[in-house]
Parts: sequence; C-alpha cells; structure tokens
Amino acid sequence: MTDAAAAVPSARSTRGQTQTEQALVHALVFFRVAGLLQISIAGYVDLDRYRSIPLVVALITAVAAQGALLCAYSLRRGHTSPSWITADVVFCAVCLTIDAGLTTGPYGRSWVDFMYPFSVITSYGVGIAYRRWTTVVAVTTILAAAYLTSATAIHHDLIWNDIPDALTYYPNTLVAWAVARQLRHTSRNLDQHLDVAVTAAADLARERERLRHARILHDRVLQTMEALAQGQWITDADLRAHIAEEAAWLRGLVQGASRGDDGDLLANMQVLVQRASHHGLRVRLNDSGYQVADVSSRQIPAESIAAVIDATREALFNVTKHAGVDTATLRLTVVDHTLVVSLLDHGRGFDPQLRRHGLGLDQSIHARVAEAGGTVEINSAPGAGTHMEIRMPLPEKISPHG
Amino acid sequence: MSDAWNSGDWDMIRVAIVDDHPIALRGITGLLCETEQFHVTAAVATAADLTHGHLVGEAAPDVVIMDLYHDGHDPCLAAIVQLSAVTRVLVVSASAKPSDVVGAVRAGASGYVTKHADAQLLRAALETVAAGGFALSAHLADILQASLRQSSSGRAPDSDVVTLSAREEQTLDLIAEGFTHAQVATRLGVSKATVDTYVERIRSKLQVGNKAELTRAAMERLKARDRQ
Repeated sequence: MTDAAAAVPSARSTRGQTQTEQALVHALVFFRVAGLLQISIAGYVDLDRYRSIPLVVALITAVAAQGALLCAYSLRRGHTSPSWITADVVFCAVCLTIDAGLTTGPYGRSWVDFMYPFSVITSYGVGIAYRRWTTVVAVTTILAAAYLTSATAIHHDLIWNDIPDALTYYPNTLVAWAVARQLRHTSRNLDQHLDVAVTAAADLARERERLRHARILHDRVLQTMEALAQGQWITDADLRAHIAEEAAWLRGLVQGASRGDDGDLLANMQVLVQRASHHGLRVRLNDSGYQVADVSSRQIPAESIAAVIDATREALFNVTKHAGVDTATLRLTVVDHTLVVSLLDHGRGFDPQLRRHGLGLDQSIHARVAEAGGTVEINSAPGAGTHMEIRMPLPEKISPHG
Repeated sequence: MSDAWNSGDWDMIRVAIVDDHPIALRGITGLLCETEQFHVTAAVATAADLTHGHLVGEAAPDVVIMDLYHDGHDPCLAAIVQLSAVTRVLVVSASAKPSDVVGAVRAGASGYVTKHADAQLLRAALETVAAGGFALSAHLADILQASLRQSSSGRAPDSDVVTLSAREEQTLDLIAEGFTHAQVATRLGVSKATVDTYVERIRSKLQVGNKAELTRAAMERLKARDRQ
C-alpha cells in the first residue's frame, strides 16, 4: 500500500497579486481617460485662443492616440510596464514643451495650458508603475523639469512662481507609489496565506482518506485474513502461513497508519513473528506497552529501528534453533524514554560462560545496537530459559503520551 | 456435539460467543470445537441476541467471549455489566484502545485477550475465567500497568484512582514480560498462591465499589428485559 498521493507541490497562488495589478492598471486607465477628457474639453473650449488651431488639434490627437495605445497595451498585459511608462513620461514632457510653445499668445504670461493639468492628472500612473521610490522621483523630475524649463524659457515666467506648480507632481506620484506598494504587499501576503490554506486542506483530506482506509482495512479485511490464517478452512499449511505473514504486515501497517506513523517498527515485528511461526515457534507479541506510549516510529532514528529489528530477528532465530521450545513472548514497551524489547522463552537456556558459537547475539549486532546508543542484555541458565532485553533510548524530543 | 451434551458431560466448559464479524465468529467457534474441552452453547452477533434462554438454565454458559466493539466503535460496556452479573465475561478484540480495555475490566470483565492470540492462550484464558479467576494475559498486564501508571501520575483528577502496591506492579510487569505465575513467584521470592492473590487483588482494586453498584444495576436491567 504505497502512499502515492503524497506531496504533489501545489502551484503557488498568484490570484491576489494578479488582481491587484489589474486594479492598478484600471487606475492608470481611469486617470488617463480623465486627463484626455480634460484636454479635449479644454482644447474645444479654448480653441479660439490658440495661434495655430490645426497644430493644437494635432497635439491633442497625438496625446490621445498615445494614451489609448498605452491603455490598450497595459490592459492586455494585465499590469503596468515600467518601460512603457517611462516612454510615456518622456512623451508627455515633450508634449508639455510643444504645448508651451503653442499657447504663447497675445496674453503674455497667462497660460492657457491644457498639457499641464493633463500631466498632473496622469502623473498618478507614474507612481503605480515603479517599485522603488528613487525611480519614481527620478521620472517625476523629468516632468517637473520639462514644465519648469518650458514655463521659464518659453513663457518667460518667473521661476519661483512656477516652482509650486512643478512640485505638484511629486505628491501625486509618490502617494500613488505608496498606495500601490501597500496593495502589492497585502496581495502577496494574501497569496501566501492562500497557499498555506490550500496545502493544509489537501493534507487534511489525505489524512482523512488514509484513516478511512485504515479503519476499513482493519475492521474487515484484516480480521478476515487472520481468521483464515488461524482456522482450518485452508488446508495448505504453507498458504496459511503466507496469509498469516501478510496479515501481520498489514496489521502493523494499519495500526501505524491510525496512529499517524508508517508503522515501521510494528510492521516489521509482526513479520518477524510470523516468520518465526512458520518455523514452528509461536511467538506471543505483546505490544500493548508500546501502543499505550503512543510513540511514532517516525520519531525514532532509522538506525535505531533497524538495529533493534535485526537484533530481534537474530534472537528469535536462536530460540528457534536452540531453545527446544515452541512458544516465546516478545514484548515491546516504552519505559522512561527508552524503548524496551524483550524476548522470553522457557527453553533449554545456555551457560553464558561457555562462549559457544551461535548462541547469544552476533558481535556485529551487539555493535550496531551499541552504536545506536542501545544495550543488549541476555540472561540465561541451563534449564531455566533465556531472557533477552534490548534497551534503546529514544531522542529527547519525543513526548510519549503516557 | 449434542451427544456429549446429552450424556451430561459437565466437565466441558460451556462457552457463548458474541462477535459481529461473521468469519471471526466462525474462527473462534472452530478453534474451541477442536478439542473436547469446550462446548459452544451460542454464537451470536450482538449481546442483545443473547436471550434469556441462552443465559439461564441448563444452557447457561460458564464464560461469554465477547468482542469489545461488536456494536460499533464504542466498547460495549453496558453489555459487559449485564452479563458479568449472571456469568463470566472474557473480552476479546482485534485491537483495542487501552482506555477501553481498562473500562471493560472495570465493568466486570474477567480478562482480555487479543483476537490474534494463539489457540493455547485463548483456551488457557477460558479455563481461568471459567474457574472464576482473572485471566491476566501479557497484553492486559501491559495495558493495566501503563494505564494505572498514568492515572497515578495525576494527569486527571480521577475519583476512582487505583494505586497498586510495589509487589503488584512487579507482578504486572513480569506477567507482561511473559512469565507464568509460578515463575513470577520464583522471581519475587514468594509462593505461587501469593502471586495468585496479587492478581486477584489487582482485579478487585479495579472493580471495587463498582461491583455492587454494577451488579445491582445489571440485575435491574435484566429484570426489566424479562418483563418485556
């Protein structure tokens, strides 16, 4: 039973950010349209004031066309493009200058000017497009400088009269920049939260499904398999043993799944028990202590689990070979942050003093258990059975629900 | 089977089985019928199916083997209470929550074995329970030891906290390890009878106070059922 539905990384959500950019583009378009309306009306109303009407109309048309192009492009892309906005600003500056030239008239210093209000209104678009305020200030300066120079050079205004007007651009662009920045920041956060929520929901759904499967397997399939393995309906002993082994493995897996771990330790112990029974040794596995402690296999280092299982396998093998008995008790429990695995048989026993080859545990296994931080103790006496105890300390972080 | 019954072979232990899983039911029945030691008087799916007729008179079982969760996902404690008033109950389960097992013992069960226990273990438990004793299997011992350690560490203010003596705890630990009563006696340096006493004491500590209460309530419920 593989967990195939595991960890498919969900695409990072950009919905919030996309919506924010679209909203900002709409703002850009809004201000642009407002500006175009303004110059159209101003141009129409003051048409007679201009020296050269065709040129003014041409200028207005050019500005409108450029504006329309910018809006169409930005709407299509779904966000403002800094390079286009910069070009737009330059274009605006140029038009400002041309406009200054076109509106000098017999009135001298009064300035019937439609490009200036237009440039003020549309300057909001400048703030929206750039990420850094330094860029915003730099680009705004193009506009302000264009205005100032054309006002002083062409209209011969006094510079300090026009400086306040020139400075008007800056609050517009900077406020727009600040607002856009905040909006983008918020929408990024929103998207991150959305990602987390989606992943959590997916994880929850997966866990629920796993639990459901585990319960179904446990209540039905597992009991059926175990009954089939124990009963006499299947006459082929080998087949029954095979069923028993699979049932044992499944039991370990299911018990692990319902406790939220991969059942590594339990499943393997169950398999060992079944293999032993296949060789004529009936092992009574008492895992209640371990189950009550509610420690997950995932929290125990893999080497510790492997060392414990190998040591158990070897010990079981020894009992099968040498004890001359057909039952043994294998106990798993957790005491004081230590995993304790003990194997007891009431067989022949042996004299630990006599280092007989094949009795006790292999040196390498002793070493592996020791390396993982555990100890193995074997007590035996001739005629008094054998008792093996493996103690494997658990990492500090584990909090067994006692 | 019926021949042995008619010939009045009272040495056979009469067992009733309650399990909602049909194949498990057949499995246990088959297991018990293998030897001449047991006679299965009833094999039903739920405790409610055990009628009055099943429980009294000549067909009365010595032991009722009952699946702990045969009626859904909650342990059938009410059934245990009722049945343990008139007969003896051995609880089995494929796998049980430790708290449910302790609850079952407190409700009056005389023992607990896991469903995939080997036949020998099951038969031994049945013999013990039929004789009126407490079938303290290795599994049950571990569960009790862990649960009682829990409650005495004061995790929850429990009105019926059970405390075991040091000897009783040692007994539980050794039984959980797999030692027989006789071997426990040797290790503790006492007689086997003393160990048997420890085991009985553990049981009565779990069922004290409850017993009279539960018995009374169970008898009343049985009477109410008879009237229907």
